[in-house]
Amino acid sequence: MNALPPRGLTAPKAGPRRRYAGSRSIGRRSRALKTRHLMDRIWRVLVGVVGVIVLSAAIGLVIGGIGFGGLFFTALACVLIAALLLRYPRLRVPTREQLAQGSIRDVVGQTELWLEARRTDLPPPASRLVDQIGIQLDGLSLQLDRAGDQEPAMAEIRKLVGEYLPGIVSSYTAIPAHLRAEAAAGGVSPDQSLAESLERISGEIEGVTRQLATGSIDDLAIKARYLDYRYGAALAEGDSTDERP
Amino acid sequence: MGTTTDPAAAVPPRPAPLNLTPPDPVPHVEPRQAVGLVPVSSEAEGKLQAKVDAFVADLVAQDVGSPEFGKRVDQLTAMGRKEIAAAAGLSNRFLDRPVRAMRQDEGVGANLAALRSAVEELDPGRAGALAPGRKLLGFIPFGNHLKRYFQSYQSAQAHIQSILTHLASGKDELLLDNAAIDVERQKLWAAMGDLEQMIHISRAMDAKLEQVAAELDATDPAKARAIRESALFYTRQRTQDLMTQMAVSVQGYLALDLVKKNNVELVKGVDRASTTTVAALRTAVTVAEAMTNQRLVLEQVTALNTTTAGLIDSTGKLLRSQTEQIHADAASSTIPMETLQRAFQNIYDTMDAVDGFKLQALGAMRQTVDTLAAELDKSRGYIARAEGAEATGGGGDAPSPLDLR
Repeated sequence: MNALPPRGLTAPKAGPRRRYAGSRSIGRRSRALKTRHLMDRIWRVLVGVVGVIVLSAAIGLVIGGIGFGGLFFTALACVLIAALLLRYPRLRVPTREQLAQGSIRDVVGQTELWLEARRTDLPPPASRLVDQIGIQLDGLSLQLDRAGDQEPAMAEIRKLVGEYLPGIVSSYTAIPAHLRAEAAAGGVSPDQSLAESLERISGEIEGVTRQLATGSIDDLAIKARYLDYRYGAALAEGDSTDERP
Repeated sequence: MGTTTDPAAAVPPRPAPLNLTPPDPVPHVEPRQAVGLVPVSSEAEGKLQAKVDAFVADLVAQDVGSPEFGKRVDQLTAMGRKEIAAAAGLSNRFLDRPVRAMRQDEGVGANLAALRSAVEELDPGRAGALAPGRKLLGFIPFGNHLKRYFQSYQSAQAHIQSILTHLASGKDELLLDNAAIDVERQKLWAAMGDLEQMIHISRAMDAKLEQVAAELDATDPAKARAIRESALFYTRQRTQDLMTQMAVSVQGYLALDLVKKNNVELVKGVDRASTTTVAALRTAVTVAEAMTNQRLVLEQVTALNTTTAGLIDSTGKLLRSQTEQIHADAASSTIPMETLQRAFQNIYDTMDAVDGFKLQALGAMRQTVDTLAAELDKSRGYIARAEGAEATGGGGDAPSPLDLR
């Protein structure tokens, strides 16, 4: 029991954050999800307030004026319903099971939400890696928007982002906090394992993004070369095509 | 109408004969021949050797029975995995292009055949334009034969134009194909460079392990045996795999070049066919004016001329000088019909050259595809084995100190 991290003692406070999304975003996708959620709530508040006013007006018509007291209650109801609808429903962080389902394009944003919620539970090197992964996931999602669903890499990406990444983090958080820094068999502590695995996943996301981008890169190169042939001097040089090897 | 007495001057200049050389089929490349084609810089060589030395020193330092030793051996079995996968990923598409090229020939070929039949309709020899005018009852001249002959141009021009447009777009496809081949070859070249480096590593590893095992024979025979039986064995297997993949890559690289050269020749043929056709039409315009004193209006000829001349500057120039000559000749010639016939002969010559080329090129292409298909099959067997070893060997994902990057 050496090197007990002081953070481990305070870890349980992270509990409630696990179910609802916080305000800090590690990527654009999760921020977009939150913004959309906020807009939804504002819309609901508007509908609720207008509904209360219309209702009180209707009552006023039926009973012939609601009076000053009625006006007061209407205002009170407006404030109450606005406060309630602004706070609930809160944006829930998806569960791991939900991450494993859903469409591949949604998974990226959902995983970002999920990671954000766990970020505070992770040791500093790992949480830095999570930030980095957030940025990489943004890049990946840009590529995914353009790629077709039939792309062979899709299944691989969904596994990587929807299963392996949350899997490694939740395996880590399942370890009691005071044991996380302790070296297990093989001389590697869970902290180190987590950092290594996140590093590898980060590298893989980068690789997949690169691979998906090669299509566009090649396409551009082919078009440039074609213009070279069509309007440039490439055809003349084509007679003496390079003889290597 | 001028009167030149020398009939030889009336013959239009023959463009230089069209030589379309079908590329030779790609020979079978032995794994041994394939290695060394992509140069490895001496600087890189030094780095690779240092990597190998460090790896072997590390391996020898481990206890033979320890999991660490096993881990190092696993890294040897996974050596070059990424490089092979990258090259194999490219080589899976090797056959697409030659096979498609064989089919694409048909597209251009069909258009050329259509052009030929359209042109034959107008051939002055066949249309009987040179025959003396028809005579009613054998002696009363009846109808203007020449006039009717030249009128047939007007009805044919739209058809010819559409064929030429098809040919032009077929040519664009060939060029696009070549652009894609260029990009693919660049990537393949890079993949082959990586393979070459891995082969260099695995060979250096072979030599180094052999040397270390010989040294250990005296001091630690058990370790020497373990190194020979596991590390050296897997290293040799990987060398073989890498070399097989290299041979296929080289073969594919050459096959892509073959398709590319084939396309270039075909483009030349298409260009020449278009130019000679336009030249013949222009000649017809001039000859008609000279012989019937009537203006044969082929609106399309001008349009055709600009499009065709724009394709390739050199042929455009050729066409321009040629037609100027024709114009002068036809105007001054006593036998303008012969000029026209020569212009048609130019078209036929071009098409015969293209046909002959295609026949030979198709043979070369078939042969190349056959060789390549056989090699691909062979290498797939190796790759399947390598992947099987990986699945059972585990540790395949461990970052190896032998990685190039």
